[in-house]
Amino acid sequence: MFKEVITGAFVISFLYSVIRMATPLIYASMGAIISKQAGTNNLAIEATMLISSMVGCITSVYIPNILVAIVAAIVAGILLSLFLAFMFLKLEANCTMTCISLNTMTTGLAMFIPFALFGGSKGSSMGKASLTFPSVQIPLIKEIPILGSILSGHCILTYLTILVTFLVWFIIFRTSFGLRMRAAGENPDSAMSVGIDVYGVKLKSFILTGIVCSLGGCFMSMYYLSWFTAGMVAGRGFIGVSISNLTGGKPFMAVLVALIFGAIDAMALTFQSAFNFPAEILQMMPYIATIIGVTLVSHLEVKRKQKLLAK
Amino acid sequence: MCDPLKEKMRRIFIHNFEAFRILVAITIAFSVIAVLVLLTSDDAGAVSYWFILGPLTSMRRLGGVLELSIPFILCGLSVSMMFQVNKFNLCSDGIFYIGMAFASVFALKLDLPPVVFPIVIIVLCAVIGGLTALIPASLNLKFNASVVVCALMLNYVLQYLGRYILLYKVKDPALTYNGSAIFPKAATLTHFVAKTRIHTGIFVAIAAVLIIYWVLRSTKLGFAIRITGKNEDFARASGINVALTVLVSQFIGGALAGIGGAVEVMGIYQQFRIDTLLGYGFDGLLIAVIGKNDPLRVTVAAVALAYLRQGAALVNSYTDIPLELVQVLQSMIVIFVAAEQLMAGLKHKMIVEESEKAGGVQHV
Repeated sequence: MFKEVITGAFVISFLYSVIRMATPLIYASMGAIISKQAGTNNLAIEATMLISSMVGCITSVYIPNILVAIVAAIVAGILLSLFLAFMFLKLEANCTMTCISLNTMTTGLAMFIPFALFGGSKGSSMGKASLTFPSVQIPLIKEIPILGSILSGHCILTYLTILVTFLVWFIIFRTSFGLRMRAAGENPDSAMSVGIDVYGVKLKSFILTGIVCSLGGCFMSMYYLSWFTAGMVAGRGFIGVSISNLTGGKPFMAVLVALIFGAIDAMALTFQSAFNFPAEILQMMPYIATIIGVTLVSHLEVKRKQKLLAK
Repeated sequence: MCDPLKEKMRRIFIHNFEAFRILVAITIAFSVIAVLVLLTSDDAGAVSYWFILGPLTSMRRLGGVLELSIPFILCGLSVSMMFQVNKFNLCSDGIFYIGMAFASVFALKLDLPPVVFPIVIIVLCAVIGGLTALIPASLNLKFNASVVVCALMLNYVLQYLGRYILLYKVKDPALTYNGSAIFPKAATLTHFVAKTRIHTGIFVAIAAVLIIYWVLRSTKLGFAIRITGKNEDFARASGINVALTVLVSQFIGGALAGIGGAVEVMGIYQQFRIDTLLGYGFDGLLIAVIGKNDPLRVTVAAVALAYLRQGAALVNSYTDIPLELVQVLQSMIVIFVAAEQLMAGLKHKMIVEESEKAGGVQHV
């Protein structure tokens, strides 16, 4: 059975899927890394991606301009992050509880708003003409025999992840703002004593996270699928948070791990048609992998701390 | 302070500050929703009528409130048991669903006499639920993995597992939709109130409340759970086995969610045909937060939420506002209740005034 299916074409399309599935995870983990370095346990990545995917898609229904749609999505992501920042920084809400509730709130909004605007089925913009990102063929790369078909033909948001990853790394580790942010994250009291505006730095980190995550949200509803549906983020935000925890907040490692998770996602998608595996068992895989990954890394972290203490 | 009535009211206000704070949070959330309704609805008056008075207008609708209270009470107890020890183990939603799935499997594959059958299924699902809840809990205790992330991921895993059971293990090929066969009569919970679907599961829920109340107040375990929740170091210093206490509380919480699922599928649906998580776990979160993990308060909050949801369902049927708006409302309530600084300025001022009066020290 395997021999017939694992042809060259299968492998190529599989690897192509890996990059495709990894893109939203990369955005989610970049957003999570910013939050982690700033010391805010931001679990609302999922909610931010959902709200921005909804706003981006629906805006493109009314204003058929893709740039306007992206900007609207980013604004939505920033607004949600600002709301979270207000609850967390000003009103000192319990971050975990607030993030969980933000997730359920945005799910409710995601069901309600398409219905309020379009009527018809709840939580979906199916049937409404919304814009999608075109697939882009890169002129020179697409000529390369095998790699070409894998690397070329993705949407611009996928290629943008390279730039975003580099920018996130640069901002966190090579700018003075990043230094202040990391200081505020590691030890807010010491940071304050040195004169760092912990409050302002964390606020800016929330905004940055919102921007990055909304790009991931755009990808979901305007390329991965060409419409919006309420369940479309499917835990990717949380997987992004897990990736950032797994890699200890290192952007380039996170891209690697995101690709691995993308591979598991792609396996779930392609294996079910190729090998007649029940879809549900395969769909569990990314989440089980996340649990195992989080456990492993936390365990290693504990071991590392014990070793340090023993010295 | 020379006015005794004003003084008395101040006393009441300070004594019940928490309750007032929750009321303020609820009011803010309701106001936001009211604005949304005014913006999107053509008939806000009808919306208010159905939402506030709707459930009282007929026996069937009032019955609906009680029907919904059953899973709400059980999920509220489940989450509050798990939260009591400060572990945000949110897998109640998934466990409720998997409880429904496994109850269907047992209902259709086993064959037992009438009263015994549902009891056995409930016990089995309780055990399954308890063991499932132990997964994030033990990963957290042993490896320091994040409970929240593991539990949320587990919810997705359980959703797909339940769906797998629905589509491959109990699916009735004679049906045009994805559903199991109707359960044999012996495996269902009887409806005993005319014109409603209120089933004997309500007694299970009431029993659960009483048992949990008794356990928390009067047993060593309950004491250990409460102290661990309030101050883990103090509990450990007092000789309480904190790890075991945490595990037991998570097991009980998971068991309650499993019971909830079993009772719901045997009582209301009597067939397994749901392929997504119902979200009752997150309703349980709201109930546990409002009820402050206390079984009796949780019951009141559960019934109140059931009333709200029934009102929202009626609004959904008779006006142009969909059900999901109440989901937004619920989430906002939790967000504002969790905001500990809400009205904290007022609280601080009151504390300062009280201590000034008591100690006679002037505030400089």
